[in-house]
Amino acid sequence: MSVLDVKDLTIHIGDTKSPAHAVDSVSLHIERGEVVALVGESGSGKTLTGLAIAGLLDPPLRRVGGEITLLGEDLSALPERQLRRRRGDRLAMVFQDPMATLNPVLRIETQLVETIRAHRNVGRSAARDEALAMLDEVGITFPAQRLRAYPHELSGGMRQRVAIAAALINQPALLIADEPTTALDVTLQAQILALIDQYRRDHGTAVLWITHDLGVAAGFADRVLVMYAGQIVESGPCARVLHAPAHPYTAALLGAIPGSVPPGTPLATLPGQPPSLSPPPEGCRFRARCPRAEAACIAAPPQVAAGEARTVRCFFPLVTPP
Amino acid sequence: MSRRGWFSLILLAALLLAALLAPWLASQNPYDLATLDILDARLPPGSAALDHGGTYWLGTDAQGRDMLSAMLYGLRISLTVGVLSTLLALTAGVVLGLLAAWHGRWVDALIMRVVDIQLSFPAILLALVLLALTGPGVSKIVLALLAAQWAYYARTARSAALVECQKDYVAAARLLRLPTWRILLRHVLPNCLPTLLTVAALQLAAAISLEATLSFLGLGLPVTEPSLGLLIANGFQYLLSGRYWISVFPGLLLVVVLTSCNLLADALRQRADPREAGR
Amino acid sequence: MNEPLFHARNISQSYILANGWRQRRSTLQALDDVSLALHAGEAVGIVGESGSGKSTLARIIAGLLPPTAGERFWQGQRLPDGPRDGIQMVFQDAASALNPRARVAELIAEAPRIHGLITGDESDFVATQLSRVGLDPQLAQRYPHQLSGGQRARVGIARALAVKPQLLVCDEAVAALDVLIQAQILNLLQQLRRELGLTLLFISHDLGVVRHLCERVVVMHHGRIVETAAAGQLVGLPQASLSRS
Ligand SMILES: Nc1ncnc2c1ncn2[C@@H]1O[C@H](COP(=O)(O)OP(=O)(O)OP(=O)(O)O)[C@@H](O)[C@H]1O
Ligand SMILES: Nc1ncnc2c1ncn2[C@@H]1O[C@H](COP(=O)(O)OP(=O)(O)OP(=O)(O)O)[C@@H](O)[C@H]1O
Ligand SMILES: [Mg+2]
Ligand SMILES: [Mg+2]
Repeated sequence: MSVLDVKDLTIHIGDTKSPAHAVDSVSLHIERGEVVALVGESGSGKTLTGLAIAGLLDPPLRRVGGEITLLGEDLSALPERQLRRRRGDRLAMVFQDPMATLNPVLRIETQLVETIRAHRNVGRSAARDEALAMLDEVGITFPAQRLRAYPHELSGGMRQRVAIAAALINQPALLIADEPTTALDVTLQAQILALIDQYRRDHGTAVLWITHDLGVAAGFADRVLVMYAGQIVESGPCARVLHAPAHPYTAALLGAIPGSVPPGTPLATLPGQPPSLSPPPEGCRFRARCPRAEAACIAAPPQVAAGEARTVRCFFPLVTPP
Repeated sequence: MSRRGWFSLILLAALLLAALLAPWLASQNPYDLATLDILDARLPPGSAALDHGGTYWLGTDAQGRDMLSAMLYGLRISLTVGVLSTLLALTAGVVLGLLAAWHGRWVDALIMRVVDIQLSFPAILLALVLLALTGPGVSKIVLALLAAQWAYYARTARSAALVECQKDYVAAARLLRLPTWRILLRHVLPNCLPTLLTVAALQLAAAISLEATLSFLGLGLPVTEPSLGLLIANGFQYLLSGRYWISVFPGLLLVVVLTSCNLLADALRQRADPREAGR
Repeated sequence: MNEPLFHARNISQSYILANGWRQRRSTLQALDDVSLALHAGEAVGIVGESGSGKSTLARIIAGLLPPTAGERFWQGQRLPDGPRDGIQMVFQDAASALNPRARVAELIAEAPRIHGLITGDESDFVATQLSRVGLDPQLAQRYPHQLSGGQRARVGIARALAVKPQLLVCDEAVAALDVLIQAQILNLLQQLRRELGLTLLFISHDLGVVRHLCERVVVMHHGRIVETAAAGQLVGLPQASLSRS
């Protein structure tokens, strides 16, 4: 049974007359203990997808279609508010902005202890001990001292790790982590990844890992989904997608990693900007910036198989289907 | 905003409008002694006037004054005093609170010590002492209320501003070399406003009831300008003789005013707190 | 050697930690005798583990935080406490660095307007600044909470660049960006260095980015600079910071 099953998730922003189609027919599923990376262009709808799964969309963001099944229970029929309560115990989210999780006027201790006690029947001092152990696990030095700190007294990376600690502390069935390691150096990043790896082995935690770091995606995730302008343009096992991309956008991403050109020389970029999504353009959304675009791209490409367990949304993929 | 919030806002707007339009809504000018007819004194609600054809819907008081008209004018004075003193105290408190938060060190220490002293003193006592010194009058009671209330705003503004000043957008504004007044008024203040407005709505209720209390005690406003408090006081002696309306109707109106202020404060607080906004 | 554009000498910073009401106050030495010189047009990277004092150093250099000890010099002149014209910073936490009640257009145009840097039409100015960092000019009317994380980060970059700084301190400025947009920003910074002689102090945990952009890298560890190296020589974080685990 998959932990999470999302079918045709569609999110509109703004009034009903000319909404922005920010997320368009996104489908994904995550098995027990599986890590799925969601990568893609800035502003392509990754965070919105995560928020929708967590049931955290507020107007003017509207989920206008799609089914979200968590642990076999279809929750999309419920209104957003009830969703939140139903999901609270099973799902945890690490927000892109760690200050969004942390209350600026409460000590770290209070926040972690309350998080534990909101979901489990644990005594105050036991909860404090757990919080302490958790801070240690995410690599925070002097955890006892840090428990007494306010969020603004921590460094950026420490805040991120406190947010990760708060998300893991109740052993969720599904962890949605939105760019959780943007401020962490490789050593710490490795430590966090090892910790999450342990959770998924011990508790079967499923992970949706939203990231810009293709290196992390390649080394850590089982599968990767690539988003562009509200759609999933490519999906498949990490190793294969990142070594032999099928979609031209994925290829462009991989070509822009520093290190592919000598230091100081300009990096490869794409001309132009992603299209406006209110209304979305006809046909392929990547067309205007695509080096491989042809006349046929005026029509919207369907999501087609591109090799074993891979899909791509392109008429002219770089990898030919078998 | 919640439905309750809208309800209180509409109610408060209606009360303000009634107060503003009192001279046109009221059937007589209750302060113009020439229009009063002593023969109409203490008539129960719904009585017809003796000489002219009108009806006293809420009865009359000891001078033959139409209660409805008196209440409309009373509301006008109560609200004027309340709103005016709240605005002044808010402005004074915000300026001092922001300065304290921004400068820190001795400016902060000085302002906050004065605030502490002020707040350890019961508001009503301070107002009583001031009024005893200055004598009654609208401007004097506004001043007394200002003196009694600015400290609440100063304290709230300071603590809200301290939280905001820790955020990086204030640091960014400093780096961009924006003038200090601009950073405080255009950046910090708007982000403190939700908290401040909540306190203001609560303090508006407090100001109105404080004024009513002072007037009831005969210290607030002169008899020629009766606010709701004074109307209640005037009718008080008739309460036991069964002429309840002289005191009870102004009292009810006061309760409605205070409740709608408190409801509004509650709604504003919920709106300002994003964790409650979703519920 | 010619005079550096900016020089920080013997900077130390300690924070007072207010513990519980019973415990004694303790201090935390976030920076310990750090000196750093930046020459005009140079790009210097700062790397180091989390909590090693990189952001604290950035704030002190920008003049946002008076150091407990040490002095700052600008072209040889001692700087008083406080910000100075010509130094801008891109903050690590992009969400908190944008006033939640101002639209993007105001965030970007406010300071240039006040300092008289806008010659033509203000909305054209904003559109130019936005497109430079790869943002759709239509975003000008949005509030920060209506942007994605990477869009917010780019508004922060655009705002800092809009006042034409001589020294730009970037604290994890490209961490929230996908590699394509990161490439665009890095190219933009390179171009500004070439054309305007922009000096860069670039804090990043991504060694690939630092190697690409910077000539010189300093490594911080526990509030000290433990190593200064040419960027090309830096293969991984040196032993000093790895020994911790
Ligand atoms: N409240 C809102 N109102 C209007 N537009 C919004 C709102 N929230 C998000 N958007 C827009 O929706 C699009 C998708 O946003 P989202 O946050 O999902 O992007 P993302 O893929 O997470 O990008 P990033 O990598 O930069 O964080 C963006 O273009 C953003 O500007
Ligand atoms: N306002 C403050 N009050 C108390 N301690 C602080 C404060 N700001 C920072 N610190 C502490 O100073 C140390 C250095 O923090 P700094 O933010 O400079 O680290 P950093 O190198 O930027 O780390 P990161 O890579 O995680 O952002 C940390 O231990 C942090 O907890
Ligand atoms: Mg995002
Ligand atoms: Mg930092």
